[in-house]
Amino acid sequence: MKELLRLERLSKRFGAVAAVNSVSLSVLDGEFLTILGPSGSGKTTILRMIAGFEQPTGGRILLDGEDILDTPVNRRPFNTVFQDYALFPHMSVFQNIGYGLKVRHLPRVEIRDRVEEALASVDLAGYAARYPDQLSGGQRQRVALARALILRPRILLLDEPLGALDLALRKRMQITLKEIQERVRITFIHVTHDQEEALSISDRIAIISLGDLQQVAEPKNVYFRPANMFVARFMGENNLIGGRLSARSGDLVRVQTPMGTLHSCSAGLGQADAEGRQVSLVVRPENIVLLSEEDSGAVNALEAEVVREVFIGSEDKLIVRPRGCPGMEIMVKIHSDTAVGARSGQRVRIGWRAENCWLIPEAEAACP
Amino acid sequence: MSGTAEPSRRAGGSRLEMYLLFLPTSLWLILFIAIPTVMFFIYSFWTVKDEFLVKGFSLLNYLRFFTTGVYPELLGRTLVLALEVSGITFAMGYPLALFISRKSGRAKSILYMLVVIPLLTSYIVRIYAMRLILGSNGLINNLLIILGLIREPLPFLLFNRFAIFLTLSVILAPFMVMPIFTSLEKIPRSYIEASRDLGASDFETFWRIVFPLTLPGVIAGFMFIFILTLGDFLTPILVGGTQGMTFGKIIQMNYGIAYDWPFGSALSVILLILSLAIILIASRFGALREI
Amino acid sequence: MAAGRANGWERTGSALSRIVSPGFGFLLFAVTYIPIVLVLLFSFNSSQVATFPIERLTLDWYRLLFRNESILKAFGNTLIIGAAAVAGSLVIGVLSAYFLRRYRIRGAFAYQLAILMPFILPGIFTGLALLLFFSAAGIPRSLFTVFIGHIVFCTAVVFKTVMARFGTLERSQEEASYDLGANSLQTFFYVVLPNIRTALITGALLAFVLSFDETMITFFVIGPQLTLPLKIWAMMRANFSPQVHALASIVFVTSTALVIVFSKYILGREPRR
Repeated sequence: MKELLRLERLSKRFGAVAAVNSVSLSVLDGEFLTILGPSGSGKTTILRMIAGFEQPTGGRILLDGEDILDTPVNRRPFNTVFQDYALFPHMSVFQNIGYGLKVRHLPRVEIRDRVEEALASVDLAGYAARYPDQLSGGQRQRVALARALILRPRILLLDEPLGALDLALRKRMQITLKEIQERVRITFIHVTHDQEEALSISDRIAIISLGDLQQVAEPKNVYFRPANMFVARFMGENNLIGGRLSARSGDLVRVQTPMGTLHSCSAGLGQADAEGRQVSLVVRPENIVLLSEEDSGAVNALEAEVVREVFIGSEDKLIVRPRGCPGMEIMVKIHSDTAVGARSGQRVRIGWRAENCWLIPEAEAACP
Repeated sequence: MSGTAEPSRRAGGSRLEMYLLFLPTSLWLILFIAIPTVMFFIYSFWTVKDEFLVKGFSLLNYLRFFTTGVYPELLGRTLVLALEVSGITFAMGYPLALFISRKSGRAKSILYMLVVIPLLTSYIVRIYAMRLILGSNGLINNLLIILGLIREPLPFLLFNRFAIFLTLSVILAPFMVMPIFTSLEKIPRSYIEASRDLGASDFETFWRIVFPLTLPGVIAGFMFIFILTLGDFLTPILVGGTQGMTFGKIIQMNYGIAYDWPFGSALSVILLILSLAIILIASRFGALREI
Repeated sequence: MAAGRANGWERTGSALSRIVSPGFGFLLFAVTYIPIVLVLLFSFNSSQVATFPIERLTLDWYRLLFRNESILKAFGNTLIIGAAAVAGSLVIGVLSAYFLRRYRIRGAFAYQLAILMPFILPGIFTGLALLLFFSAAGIPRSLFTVFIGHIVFCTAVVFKTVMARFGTLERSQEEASYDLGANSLQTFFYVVLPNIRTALITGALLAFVLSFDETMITFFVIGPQLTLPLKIWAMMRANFSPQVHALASIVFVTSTALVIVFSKYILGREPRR
């Protein structure tokens, strides 16, 4: 896919605070890109700068190679779906969707046809005469979508569009969004703080924290191969075990930790990362198993004490405290049909295979 | 995702548009507000000699104000009057505001409306109506005579400072009630419930929680009444007689009978500065939030 | 707990609050309304002098009123000025408020203060300042000068109400409009104006009612042709006629009726979002 939009060292300062700090990012034609980050990370600011509602204090935005910073909002070939939908309360659904066409002075007949078509495409045929306050949250969201898409923008910008919906509806809308995007083949830039959402529908994810770009990659990579501590922590529940690289040979490494020597592959390390380096072992909860007394198959085995069990129906998690590092909590996902019934204080052995590995070449305090 | 400062500037606007919007409103402001205000000040530095306007710069008017004892004294007395009016409207208006805010729904709306309606009806009529009450043949005297408490009508109810005081108190009362009521309404119910939950009595709750939170409204009320009292001239003319004189009336007289516009302007400038000072002080206490 | 907008302290029932508050309350109401009721009463009084006891009730004064040319003229003037001032102030007030919403300029606070001054300060200042201005500019006092005085005052009222509405209006609708390709003019007419409709009506009504009764500013800038309040004033100063009572009563009743009918707007009910 070729590059459609490029952000070059984009920055935005509000007074002394840098909301966005020299972010460089390439957006590919036809992709579904999600900008993901916690509140206050600057993700919305980036979106607004692309749309033209904010002027960057540094950097450029290039569309097809041309700088568009001087182009005002209403001339940029982008359209936005706002977080609160921003539907015009005094206009009907028809008038809302047709607004962009009306201000371009298109003939009434054409407007009518295109609006009907847009309504059908979001499953709201027949709702033309209704008013926003007569619609449910999900319906309003679809109207906002139709209103933006009818103008066939080159990029559709979505600012946490699903935030106001309840869980079930949200999940359905995520799929709908993806389907629509694939059907109309328009580039979507989507902003959210929900990493599950990002993972399920994006082609690529750009992770932002405190104004800095942390990682841009496909969902698989962001999930299994986080580039740094922030991404590792943010993308779901990861166990991070800090230690020192004590040996490295070929694909296998050994890491010295307060809980003993752990074995891992070298994935995630750079060429230059050699012995002595502080690293973090990223172990996903679903890769850890409870070892029975006889089990010696796993290379990495730890003695631990149960803190508590968290059973939420779809999954069963065990929080344990490893011997050697009583301040740390390790999460283990149990594959079982029912709660295992572990008692607090119970001694267990957990283990995982060396191949389930990922290393990040940085670490915080080894034992919190 | 609501916009902050800048969005509008770039969002489809241009420099031309900004000036297009800016021009008529600024023209307006300059012509009918800025220039007249400036003229105000200019006139205060001119003088009148033998019925002719002397346009030379002179501080005579201001000197006259400060050195002739009458004027500062009058200003002082008018300030005292303002204080008295504020005091009594506060004493009566606060309980009223409290009473209304405790009502709910329709009763509250109707009662509040009753407070506000007089403000929107003729100022002159209301002042004049006080004459019907305070006069020798007025309501009060008639009542007292009928009740047998006095034989002759009391002459001192009307056409003096006391009459001005009473009239202003009646007329300006809504200006005290309204901001107090507004600030009472702003107090979240949960504060009061929390106070009761923590064991405070009703009085303590009122005194420690409610009253302090209504102070900005009270100060706003005082501010309104002060400024309105200082600038009022209709009341002294209608009910003040020859004995009742306020600063506002003196200013008006310089534009009327005395025909000394420069001196009147100087007095107005002094009054303006005083008023602005009052507003400034009041806003320090948060009064402006209640408007 | 009482239904409706209960605010948690209906049941705080010390004797103080149960008796004193309502007591003062009704006293204040009585003190405010009794004078007005008296005027109403005397307007029907057959005797020339406004004293008790009331002898006969009559509508004579009202009849005379309606035949009084000068009063009718004054009434007409007041209406015309009111309408004109409100119309003008709507335009200027909205433009000014919108300007401040669109653009962040450094003198924004001073700008607002300047527009609101005629409303914040008592009428004597505005009246005098305008008087000096007209006199220096050689403009004779007339209904035109009164019109200017009123429009200055009304603009402040409209400006204030519209600014208050802007304060609660989220920007996202305007942003959406630009995002969809509209220019400023289109955005203003299609999106902004409909959203401030209620504030405009409130502002206009308030301005009209206040203009109708405006006395202080008018006092200084009025020419030979009078407005109603000034006519009443003149009647009170000149030889006395009970027609004043009748006139005053009509003015009072009309204003009150206006306020009640439009109470929804004037008393600031929450605009529907």
